[in-house]
Amino acid sequence: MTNEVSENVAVVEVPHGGGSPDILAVSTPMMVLTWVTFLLLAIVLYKMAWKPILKALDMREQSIRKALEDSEKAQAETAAAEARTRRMLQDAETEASRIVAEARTAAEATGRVLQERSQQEARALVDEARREIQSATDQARQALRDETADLAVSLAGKVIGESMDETRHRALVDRLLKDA
Amino acid sequence: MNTEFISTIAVASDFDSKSQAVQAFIMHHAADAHEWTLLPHGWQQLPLYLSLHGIMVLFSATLLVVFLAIVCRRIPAAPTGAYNLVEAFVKFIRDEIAIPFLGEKDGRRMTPLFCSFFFFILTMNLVGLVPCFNAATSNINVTAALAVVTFLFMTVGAMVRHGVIGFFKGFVPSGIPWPILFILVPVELIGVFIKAFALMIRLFANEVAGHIVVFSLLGLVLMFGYVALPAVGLALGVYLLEVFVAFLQAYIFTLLSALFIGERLHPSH
Repeated sequence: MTNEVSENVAVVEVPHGGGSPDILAVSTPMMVLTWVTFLLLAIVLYKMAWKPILKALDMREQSIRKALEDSEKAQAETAAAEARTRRMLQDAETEASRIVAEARTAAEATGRVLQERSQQEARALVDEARREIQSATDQARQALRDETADLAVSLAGKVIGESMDETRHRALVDRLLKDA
Repeated sequence: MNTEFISTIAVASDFDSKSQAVQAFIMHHAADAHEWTLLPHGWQQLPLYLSLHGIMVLFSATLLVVFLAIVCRRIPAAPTGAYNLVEAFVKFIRDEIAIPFLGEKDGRRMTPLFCSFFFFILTMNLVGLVPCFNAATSNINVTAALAVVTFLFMTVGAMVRHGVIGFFKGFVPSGIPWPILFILVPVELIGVFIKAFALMIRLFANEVAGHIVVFSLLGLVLMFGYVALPAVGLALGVYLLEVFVAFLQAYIFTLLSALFIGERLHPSH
C-alpha cells in the first residue's frame, strides 16, 4: 500500500503532457477583459459607493467631533455655573453670618444701655426714697423733740409750780435738750 | 467533459491510470476552460471569445456592483447591517492602509482605488468558493492585470507626480557612499518590476493552491474509495481556510499595493 502511494506521488510529479491545460498560460484577451472590468468597476463603485460612503464617514466623524466639543463646552459651562452658584452661596452665608453678628452686637449694646438706664433709674428711685425717709425721720424727730419739750415744760411746771414763766422755761428746756 | 473525467477514473483499472486521470481532472479544474459545469451532471459549452474565468470576472464585478448598489441606496445616519459591514472595511482601508502608506492627502484621494481593489479581489475569491463557480483570481492573467494597475501607479503615477527625472531620482537614496549606488540603484529599479510580479504571483498562487488542495483531498476518495472518506473532512477544513484566505489575500494585495505606490510617491520614506 505504502509502495503504491509513493509510486502514485511519483506519477503525479511527472510533468503532464499531451493536451493538458496550462494554468500559467498567458492570455491577452483575459488581461484586457480584467482591465476593462476593473476600470469600469472602479469608476462605477467610486460614483456609487466609495464617494458617498467616505463622505458619510467624514460627515459623521465631523459631527461626532463637534458633538464632543459641544459637550465639553457645555460641561465647562456647567462647571462655571456651579462654581458661580457655590460662590454666591458662600457670599450669602458670609453675609448672613455678618448680619447675625451685627444684630447680636446691636442687641447686646441696646441691652447694655437699657440695663444701665434701668439701674440708674433704680438708683435714683432708691436715693429719692432714702431722702424721703430721711426727711420723714427728721420731721418725726423734730416733732418728737417739740412734743417732748412741751411735755417736759408742762411737767416741770407742774412740779415747780408757777414759779417760772413759760418763755424762760422754754429756753431752759431747749438748752438742756441741746446739752443732752 | 466533466463526466468524461469521472468515467475515466471509474473505469481505470490500475493505480497509475487512475491517479493520472485524477491529476488531469484537477489540472482541468484549475485551468481556464471554455465550458461551465453548472450541475453535477451537466455543463455548458462557452463561446470562444469568453472563457470560464472571463465569465467569473464579469459575474464577480456585476455581483459586487449589485450588492453595493443595494447596500448604498440610502446611507443611514447611524449605520446598521450590511452597510455597516461595508463601511467598516472602507474605514479600515482608509485609516489602516491608504493613509499610513500614502500620507493624509494622497491616502484620502486614493482610498477609492484601494477599496475597489479589495472588494473586487474579495468578491472574485469568494465567488470561487461557491460550488459550480470558479475564482477568477486563480487565473494568472487576472492577477497580472490587477498587478499592472498597481505597477502603473508605481511608475506612471509617480512620474506624473515627480516628473520623469524626479521619478528616477527617487531611486537614489541620500547619505550613501557613491560606489554602493552602482549596486543599489539597479536593484531598486528591478525591485519595481519584482514587486508588481510578486503581487501577481502571490494572489494567483494562493488561490490556485487552495483549489488544488481541496480537489486533491477529494481525489483521494476517488482513488481509494470509502477508506479515504475522512479526507472529505480535511477538504472541508481546507475549504474553510480558503474563506479566510479569500479575505487575507484581498487584504494583502491592497496593503502591498498601497505600500509599493507609497514608496514611489514618497521616495524619501
